[in-house]
Amino acid sequence: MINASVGLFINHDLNYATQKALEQAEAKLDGDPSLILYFTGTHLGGSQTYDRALRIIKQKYPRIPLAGCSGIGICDKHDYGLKGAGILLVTGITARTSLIKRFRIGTSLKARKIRRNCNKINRIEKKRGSNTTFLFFPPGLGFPKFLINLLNHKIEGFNPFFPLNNRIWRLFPLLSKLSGKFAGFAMDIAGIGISYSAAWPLFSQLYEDGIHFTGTFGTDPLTMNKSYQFSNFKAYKDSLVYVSISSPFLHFTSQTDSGAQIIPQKTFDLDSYLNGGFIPRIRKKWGKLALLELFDMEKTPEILEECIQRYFYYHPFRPLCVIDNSNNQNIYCLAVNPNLNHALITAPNQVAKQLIKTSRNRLNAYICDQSSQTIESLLKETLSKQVSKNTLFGLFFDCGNRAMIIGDRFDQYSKVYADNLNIPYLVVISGGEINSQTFPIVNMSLISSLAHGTINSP
Amino acid sequence: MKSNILELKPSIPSLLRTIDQELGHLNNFIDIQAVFLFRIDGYVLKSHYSTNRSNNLLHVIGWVKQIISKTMEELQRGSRSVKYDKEINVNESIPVYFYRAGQSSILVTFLRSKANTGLMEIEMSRTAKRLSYIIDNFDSLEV
Repeated sequence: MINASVGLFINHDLNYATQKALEQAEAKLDGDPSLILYFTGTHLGGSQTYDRALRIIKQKYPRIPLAGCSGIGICDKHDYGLKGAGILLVTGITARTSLIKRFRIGTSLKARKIRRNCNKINRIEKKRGSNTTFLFFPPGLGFPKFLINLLNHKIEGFNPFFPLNNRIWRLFPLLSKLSGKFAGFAMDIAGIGISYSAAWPLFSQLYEDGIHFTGTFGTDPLTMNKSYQFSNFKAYKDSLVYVSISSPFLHFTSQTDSGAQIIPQKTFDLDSYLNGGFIPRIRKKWGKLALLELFDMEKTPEILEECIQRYFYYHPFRPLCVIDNSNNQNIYCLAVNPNLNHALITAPNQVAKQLIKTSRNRLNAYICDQSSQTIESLLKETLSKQVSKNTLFGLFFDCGNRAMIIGDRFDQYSKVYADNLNIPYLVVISGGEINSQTFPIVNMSLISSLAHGTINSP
Repeated sequence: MKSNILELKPSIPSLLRTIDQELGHLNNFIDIQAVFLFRIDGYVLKSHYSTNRSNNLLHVIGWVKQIISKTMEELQRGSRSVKYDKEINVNESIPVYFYRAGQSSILVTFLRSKANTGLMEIEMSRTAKRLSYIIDNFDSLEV
């Protein structure tokens, strides 16, 4: 019998929150769990904090596979918050977890191994008549402390981006290309930044193989410290954790919901691109200047000031919709930083390069509008379309940028979930969402991953 | 602290303790400098702040007391929250948020100057909602 239950507890003390969340989940569960999905907010104290909390679950269920990650926040039917623990227990399924340490070093070899393993599990389960989905938790955005302090303008009078503000980046696109490659390689070795570009080929190939998957990159925008991935009662940094969920009585669906509206007049393309999300030149001008003109914000510095306050470090203020070859809308984020002449984009390098004007496979992109009202109304639509009376449980990966836009209205927003879902569900607020689609990594979106009972389910 | 507010034990000491814990929870965020629960006449009912920076914050507290009744009017007209950027010295101003916490009190939070206000709004509105529930139902929850 397939059964799922959710426990969520908001508290700064992760041990206490985990214990309470586990008690809540256990109280609603019928039978022993076959899988534990564990998500937390970001807590101080590094891996030891998470390890101690994971030991609480291990004491009760030492042999049950566990996977999850730390992120910005969590939400369920009754509560939401930025600190605490959320647990989803599932019975009656087959689950296998895998861990890939230091995912960004030797990525292509590791990706090949993951792909082989996923295909193998998929094949075996298909022979047994089971459907399978995978949940992926790759390393999220993270910077070392000295870099955070620099980006945080903590050294008065010193601009950390001064080498990037030289006009050679704008005038010589080839130099941008070469230096970008070197910088990207160095960042991957040091585990700095986010692993979108490193993970992109893996997810693209898995999608081509016809494997169903969803997931999220754990990110903490409050501290910008590295997030943690949980695999079988231990917390890891810079690692990729994935879990397969199989059952003959379940089928899985997922959907991406952007909550954004395209402005058709505002098309977007680049003149040059520097790996890592830097755009030196747009329409023959510095990226930042051109972007502000595009947003009609060059003469309204007070709005920019508000954005700077609202969004820390990097200051995203408008979503960008990239239309892929299958005509799907994929949202990424455009941003500026007050110290930097480049514009910034959160898309993986593979996508950003296709936005260059001279690119052979150039994609159409448009600036979008995204407000708390569009997010809320589109969420209602998505949930009502996706959920049926056979839906058993669900996981929602919601972008932290959307949460920031919603801000004060989050209480109302969480009620939209509660009113439209009559199943155990957990919303994980994080940065960077993964779904099995043509563009597998997107931003500022909601990925709903739902499990439905099949006709022959007991 | 109870996560589900409906599970609260209806006794005065436990309710007062919960109010204190709710404010403490909010004050534990690194982006928050101080949290106050004001009565609408400007009387401070409860406060959480770091003593390291309390000198800088004293004149902000004085300013809050002056404007609190006007802010309450604003909140009673239907505003979700009221936000001010209060200058504390020549180079620094801090965001100050006012939330309605029940019929007779206001939650006031002082953030750090470069706080992520978007995310903090989620936690501040959550705390205000929970405090509203406790304060408005104080009589009915009482044993």
